[in-house]
Amino acid sequence: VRWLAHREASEEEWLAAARAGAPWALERFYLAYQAPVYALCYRLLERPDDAEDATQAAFVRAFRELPRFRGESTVKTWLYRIAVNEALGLLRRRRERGEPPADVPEAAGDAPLGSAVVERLAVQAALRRTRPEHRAVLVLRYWEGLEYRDLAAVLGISLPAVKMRLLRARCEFRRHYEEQG
Amino acid sequence: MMRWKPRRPGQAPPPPEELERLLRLATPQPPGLSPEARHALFQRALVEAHAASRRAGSRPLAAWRAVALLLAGLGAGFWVGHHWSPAPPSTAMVRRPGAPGSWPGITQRPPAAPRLVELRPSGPVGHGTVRRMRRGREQARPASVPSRIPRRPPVAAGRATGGRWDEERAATEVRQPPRLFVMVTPAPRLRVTVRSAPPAAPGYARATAVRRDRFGAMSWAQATVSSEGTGSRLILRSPEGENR
Repeated sequence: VRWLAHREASEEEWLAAARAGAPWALERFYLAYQAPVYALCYRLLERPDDAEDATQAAFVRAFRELPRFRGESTVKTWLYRIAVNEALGLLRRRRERGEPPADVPEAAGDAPLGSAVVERLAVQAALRRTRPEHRAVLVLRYWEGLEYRDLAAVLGISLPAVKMRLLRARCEFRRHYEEQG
Repeated sequence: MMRWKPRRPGQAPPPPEELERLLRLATPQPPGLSPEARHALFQRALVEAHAASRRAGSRPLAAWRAVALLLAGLGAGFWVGHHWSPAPPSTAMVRRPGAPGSWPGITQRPPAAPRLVELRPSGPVGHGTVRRMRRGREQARPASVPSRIPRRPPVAAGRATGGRWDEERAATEVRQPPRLFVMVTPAPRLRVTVRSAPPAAPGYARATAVRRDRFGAMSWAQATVSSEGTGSRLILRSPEGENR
């Protein structure tokens, strides 16, 4: 009966239970947001193992800070903010250690690549060379489809700052993209 | 639909909307996690979050516990120090006259009342100690110093008094060894008071009281009576200094 009640609990109910620390509600919370958080981490880090590490770190922080979540933004935005911070920290540590960026995915076989594939690889390579902050704002805007207001909430900056950062990120991305010529 | 290609030298930069289109088209799709991997990730996150919250929660609790224990210890120490301070048993060690370094007997701390401490002749251990010390002194002695310092002979039987032998007095002096009458006072300060000492005894007599104070440190007091031809001289020593 309890299992059924847990399964049929609404989002408000299991979110309240998760804030109280109930394991079943934390599992519901995890199942609801694991996929988007993992996708975001993967797009920022481009390595499945790093993405898994960042996802785990993000959920650890989320489980700890969920009782203090005041509901000023949506849960997804709040969780994205945690995940972006974790992933950016991982990216910066990777840069400080001088690690090479993630491997460029190779085309299967010797078949000639189509122009669409070439374009996609070129974009990803240019994005890989941008600064972590610019990469984050580009990924959140164009790959995650966040609006400016959500971008401001996730990045913890004001709306004009979001627009300015997006402009600079686009400029840097374009420079790297053209350099690949 | 116009497809923008990487710019060659001299070619116009791509328009912003074309850049956005390129970026949107290049969205990578992450490899999906298996159900086992998803479950393992959740378990790890849950355990790590619990451990982290336990660490964060136990830190101030441990600090408060330490402070409470410290205050309780200080209070208990203060109370014990002012209301109940049993003096641990101290020892009064009396040296045999004329034999510094030999410790013929160690007695427990006497009560506050005066106590008579017998200066008994030392036993086998005392003799060994004396022999070892004499040997050491002999080895350390310069050649110019005589091996034996002449001393006044001890009281012997058949002592002449007024031209006659006082047999009874001589026998009493032989039978009774020199005595040192000391009193060891209890707290607060350890003191050794010499009430009477044999003025005619050669060499010296010494009484030392040793005990631990309330902080566990050793405290001691010592009284020495020496008579080297010029009469008795009393030396009282304490950890603070030396009084004569």
